[in-house]
Amino acid sequence: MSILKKAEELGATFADIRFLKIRDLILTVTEDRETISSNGVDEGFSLRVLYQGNWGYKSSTGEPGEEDVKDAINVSNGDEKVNIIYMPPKKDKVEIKPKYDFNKGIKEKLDDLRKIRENVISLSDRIKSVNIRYYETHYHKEYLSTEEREIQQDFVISGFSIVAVARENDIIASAYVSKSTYQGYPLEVFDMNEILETLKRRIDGQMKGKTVKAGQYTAILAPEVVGVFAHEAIGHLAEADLAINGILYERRGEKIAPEYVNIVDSPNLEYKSAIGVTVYDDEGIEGRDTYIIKNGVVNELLTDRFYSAYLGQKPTGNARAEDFRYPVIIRMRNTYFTPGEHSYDEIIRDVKNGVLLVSPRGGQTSPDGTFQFGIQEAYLIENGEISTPLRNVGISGYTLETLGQIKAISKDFDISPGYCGKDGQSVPVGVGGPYVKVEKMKVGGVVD
Amino acid sequence: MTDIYTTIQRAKDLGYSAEIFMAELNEIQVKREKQYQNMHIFERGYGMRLIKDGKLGFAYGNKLDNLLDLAIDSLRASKEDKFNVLPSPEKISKMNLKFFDISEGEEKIKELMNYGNEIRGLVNVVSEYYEALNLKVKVVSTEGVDVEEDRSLLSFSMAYNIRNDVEVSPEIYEYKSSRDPKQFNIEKIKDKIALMKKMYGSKRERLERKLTSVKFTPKALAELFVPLFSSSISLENYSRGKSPLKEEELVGSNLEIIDNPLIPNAPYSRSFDTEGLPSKLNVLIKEGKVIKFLSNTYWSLKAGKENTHSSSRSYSNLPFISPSILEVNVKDNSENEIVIDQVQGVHTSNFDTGEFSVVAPVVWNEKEEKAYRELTVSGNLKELLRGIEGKTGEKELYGNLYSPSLIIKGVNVS
Repeated sequence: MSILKKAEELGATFADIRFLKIRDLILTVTEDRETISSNGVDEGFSLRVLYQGNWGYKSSTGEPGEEDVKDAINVSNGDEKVNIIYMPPKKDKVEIKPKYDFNKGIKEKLDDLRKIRENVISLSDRIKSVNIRYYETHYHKEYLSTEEREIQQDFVISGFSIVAVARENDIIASAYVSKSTYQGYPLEVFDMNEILETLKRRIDGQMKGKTVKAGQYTAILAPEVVGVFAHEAIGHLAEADLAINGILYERRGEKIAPEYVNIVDSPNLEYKSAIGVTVYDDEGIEGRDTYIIKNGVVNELLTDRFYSAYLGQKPTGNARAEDFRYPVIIRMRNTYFTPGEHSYDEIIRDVKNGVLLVSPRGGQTSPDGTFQFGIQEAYLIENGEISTPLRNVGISGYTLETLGQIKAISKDFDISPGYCGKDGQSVPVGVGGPYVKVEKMKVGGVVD
Repeated sequence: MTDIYTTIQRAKDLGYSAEIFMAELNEIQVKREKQYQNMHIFERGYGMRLIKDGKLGFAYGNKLDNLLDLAIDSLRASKEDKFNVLPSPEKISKMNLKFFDISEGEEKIKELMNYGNEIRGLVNVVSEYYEALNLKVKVVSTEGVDVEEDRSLLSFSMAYNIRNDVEVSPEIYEYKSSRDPKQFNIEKIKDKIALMKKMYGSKRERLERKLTSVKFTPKALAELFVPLFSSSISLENYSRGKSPLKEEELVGSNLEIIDNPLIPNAPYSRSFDTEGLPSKLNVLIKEGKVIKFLSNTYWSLKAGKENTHSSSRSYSNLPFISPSILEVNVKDNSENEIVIDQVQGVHTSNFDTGEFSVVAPVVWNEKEEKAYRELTVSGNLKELLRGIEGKTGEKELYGNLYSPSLIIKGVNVS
């Protein structure tokens, strides 16, 4: 491409350009309102040059031209120490075709959402407000580099979330279910009856839920929570840009968990919610399965071109950008614990006094290994039996201590969707795993 | 070539009420970690609202071509709602919110980077981020709204840790932003870093005793209080039973909270909201009583309340309600030696009920000059408001909060 040649002529040792066209639709249906919240096309490019050992980007919603090359070179300041891995020439087109077509018009999609609203409202007369948000994002990505790599990718990520708020006197309960997929029209991909049952169980649980007494508990983390743990508490610490200031970098090759613990970040999984699909990353690198923890040992970090060179590690394909406005940074894709040998019943039955953590409200981690999750669905476990539902539960701890406290892993396995935020960028990810038993976990709640 | 006025006129000729919101951004960013990421971003986009017979259509794009047709398609699919109305124009008092051009902004970043280098000599800096931007915002409608404003913003943030003989501190973040570089008091960050070096000079201790109250710095309040309060004070959320706050409810004493978009150097200042209506100073809580919720045109009509002109949006979505700068005034002075300066995980809260359970990784004892291991803080928004005992120090701008440090009792800290 002429613009990349121009960059080389002006002295760039490497240049690449990402084109992105996103066709976006967001529909929102509430208890009494229906809106087309977003509907349009977002289109632009991000040109990147490596000039005298420094990166310079020019991103724009306009058409790329020679002035953009000059702008990218003009901002390329720094310590002249950027060194990257180079890849062989390659041309490829990837198209992930939906299993369930998006062939309905906006009106028909709104009709589908109205039906869901009626079903949600009929779950309980205590439900006072409903928020159903439907989205579909059609991606067309093109990547070109001075290495003569030309990669084109087309896929759709879509989903919906349902939030219901119930009130009875002064008690407010708010619960949600959120689903996303790369397999097509989400209202057909997922079983709506199952979703409505989950929503009802969460609302009922919160209405009668008790606040837990703050302290240390044996915790059973269900697949949704395990996924967030794998993502937040381990995955972020394995992102090479964070890892070099964190706790995993110096522990590569060290055993930090029982030998049956494996944590993997994968570019593509056959699970419908594995929306971290990244066949090629935004630096044009083929994605591969990366074992962050293998048989309990810190194995590999997640890298981009720069950190692959810096660490001397084979590229993993983890460089991603939310869109053309942002630089590529290291991000996870689909991150999960691999399944173990125990049944769910075996895991629960010897817990005398513990908590079952079913569904998170998201989480956060710090490079020093502290993590915090909010939990929207949780129960007390007393003498091996699930008992009282809990509300306003938060868990926190240190990753290394928590990994060392893992006592059992189940055979059951599932992947959930999410959107991960880092440096102001949000990208779709999958998270998952089996049921995991943690002997001691700090649970936040009421202080005596 | 299609322009905003011809597109609006075309919509009018077809019998629609129409509004175009345009944003044009010119920005320089520098992120420094192991490698520098330097970016020059230029972005322009348009969002179009179209209304006819109570039906609302919406479309956005980076070009105006086809925008009207796309908006008409979406209008046809929408449901009639009598509160879908575009506002009439009102007189705007323009503030000067552009203090530099982008080329000067580049120079400002270089100056700030020298300062960043100085800090690198004091602590272990993990990342630095610099940003200078010019933003042009324009709103034009068939109802006669035609407003435009240029704004500038300079910001700097830094993450660092402190190594003592035994351990490494948690990552500590510092952030400053201002529309006006002259108001950019960078020396305060140096003072803060000196304080942190003192607090994290030795191993962190576990806080064993029960706390009756703690001091939250403006940074901690911006991270915990602002997101919860912003959601709860929206007229949409209140009208839909999705707020723990009630009108006329007493949530404290001697507490005043104002939404104030009229502080020129503050990063969220504006002369008009994203519906093109003049910015207002809105007193939300007075003498501890909730007296007003923030609204936009749709929700003020639907709920029959005052329009507080609190519409916010990007060009790719419909207007929604959002505060500008939350100014917190507390009469009584108070003190507490235990200081919470950083909170993480507020996005895991239940915004409909106001319940939260978060971690405070940066906590210290001012009197004994020592830091503690991370604490868990849980409770709900009302407990947080009712627990405000007093203030300490002067008001500071942090993001969209303008507040002193607050002494708060009644939240669970463990």
